[in-house]
Amino acid sequence: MLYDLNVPWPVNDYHTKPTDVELYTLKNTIVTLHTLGYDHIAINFQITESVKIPLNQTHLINPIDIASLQKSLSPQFPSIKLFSRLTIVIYDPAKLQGLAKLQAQFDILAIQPLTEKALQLSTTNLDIDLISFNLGAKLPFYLKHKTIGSAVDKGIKFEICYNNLISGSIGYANSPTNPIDNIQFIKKNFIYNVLQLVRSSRSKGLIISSGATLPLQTRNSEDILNLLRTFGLDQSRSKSCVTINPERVLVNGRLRIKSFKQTIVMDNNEISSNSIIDNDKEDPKKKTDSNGYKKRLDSTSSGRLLKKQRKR
Amino acid sequence: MNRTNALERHLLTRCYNSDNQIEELLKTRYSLTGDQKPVIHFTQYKGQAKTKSLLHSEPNTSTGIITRERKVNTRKDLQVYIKQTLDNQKKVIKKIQAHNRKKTSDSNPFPLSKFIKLFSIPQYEEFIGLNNLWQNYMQDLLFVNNNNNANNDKSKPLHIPSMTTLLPKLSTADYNGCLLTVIQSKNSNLVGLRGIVVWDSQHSFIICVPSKEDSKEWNETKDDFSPSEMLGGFRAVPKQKSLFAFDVILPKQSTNSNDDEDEEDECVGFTMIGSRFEFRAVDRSGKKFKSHSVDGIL
Repeated sequence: MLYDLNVPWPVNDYHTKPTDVELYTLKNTIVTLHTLGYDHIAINFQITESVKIPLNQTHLINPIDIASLQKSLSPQFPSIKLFSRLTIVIYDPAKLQGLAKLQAQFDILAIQPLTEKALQLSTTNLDIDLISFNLGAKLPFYLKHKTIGSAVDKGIKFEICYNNLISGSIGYANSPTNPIDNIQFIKKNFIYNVLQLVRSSRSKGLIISSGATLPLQTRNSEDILNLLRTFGLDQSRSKSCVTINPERVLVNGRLRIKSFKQTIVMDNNEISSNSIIDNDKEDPKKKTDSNGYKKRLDSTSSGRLLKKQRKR
Repeated sequence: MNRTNALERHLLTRCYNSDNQIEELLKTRYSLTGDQKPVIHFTQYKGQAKTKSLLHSEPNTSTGIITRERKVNTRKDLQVYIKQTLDNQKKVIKKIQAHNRKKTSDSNPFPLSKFIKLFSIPQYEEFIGLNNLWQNYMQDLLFVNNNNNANNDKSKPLHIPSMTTLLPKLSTADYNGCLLTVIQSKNSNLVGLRGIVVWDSQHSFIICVPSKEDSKEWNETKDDFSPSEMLGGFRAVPKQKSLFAFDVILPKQSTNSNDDEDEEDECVGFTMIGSRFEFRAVDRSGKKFKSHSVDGIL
């Protein structure tokens, strides 16, 4: 099973709605990823810390309409599993609050720290799954092994988003986050930053994701493994970047919603190997509602056993 | 003086039966003309003993007192019993294997029931009652408020409380008697195993598994079974790196009609993460759980 945990949602705030064209491109990207072998795909909603989140209206917090996307894709591609992800770009960690309310709405929570203080805080205090960096720009701080290593020990993974490398300078120059950055240095910065990340994390706890806004920006796992080998990761480590590590990010994020402190998880699906991360039974607007998990006793084997013995 | 002497009165009620006697004692104690005793004499209470609740009443026999030694012995006896049963099972399995090896064309089937009796190997059917009790306990624990609502409005379908109320209750619940199915384990032989929990120890579940076609999900249509599947009995399943599934049957909503006999029961499934359950049941009840890195779960 392959995972791609970063397919950007077309809009970056709560006011605008994605146009039909944008949604169409998004669907195309998802389908392309699926044909390349990815079946767990997370849609990434990226906001800066200044964006006001409607914390009081819980049904508005998650703008990603997973249900309708899944509905339009599932007839043709039933094996695609979509998840929602929130990435918050933070400068000043003090401004970030209400994270607890967001936790129940998104499957994955990620932070993109822009200062060393923000990185420090997100590794120590915040309950998040993933840290991503803007790898196209020069990082304003040095990545220390101590900080990164402690985050990896806590189970937080670090994201390498390869779209900077392949989308080219044009794609990046359009990005609203960093318009003035020198276009020709993007690839150079990217390679330098990834090497820094690999060094400071001792090649542990890394995941790789596409960040593809267009279908053509996706790559298959073979290409990714080759790319990672050039960064000095060995075969097994680079393989875990697309398989095990992203799975753990998803498990971590999903357990936050579906379980109580990782003890008891809602739902048991004996057939699917990964009932922990599945989200097909829940109400996407109210993820903690448990009425979707009701099932017939006859539907499972242990249920049939239970029924048989209660009849006696 | 208009003091009520509440404290002394309270103490005296423990010693004397009648109120008059207490009144008189207090009067003489503080009277200006009386003997003004500087001491109170507490006698042993001879009145009728209060009947204690069933839970707190102890057996009257002298051996009924639970001493520390007795507790230790009970625990030890249980350990010995489980160990002995597991050993006995191994012996019977060896016998079955030997019988199978010798088997020629005309040999008669292995006398399983005889050996089960001989080695007193516990059978799944003996624990079904325990499981039914556990189901009732779970229904009481999880859907207690719903039952009250259901009495008012029976036509409405059962509303399951949200996860935030259900799951904390489950994490501190008791699992003796629960029907567990191993859905993921480091030891792939254990996957699919299911049985009723007999003892919830710190690092493993002792479960009593059903025999033959009930033993595993994919054995329902099979005809020949491995020796251990034929036998049933106890299994010790380590909690570490395993996932367990269990179902809680929803309480029946409508009790007025008879035609719900064939109406199917509904249930809610849960998964237990074994690596996070490595506590003794006693410690777990008051435990404050914390999320950790998920790397060790699976």
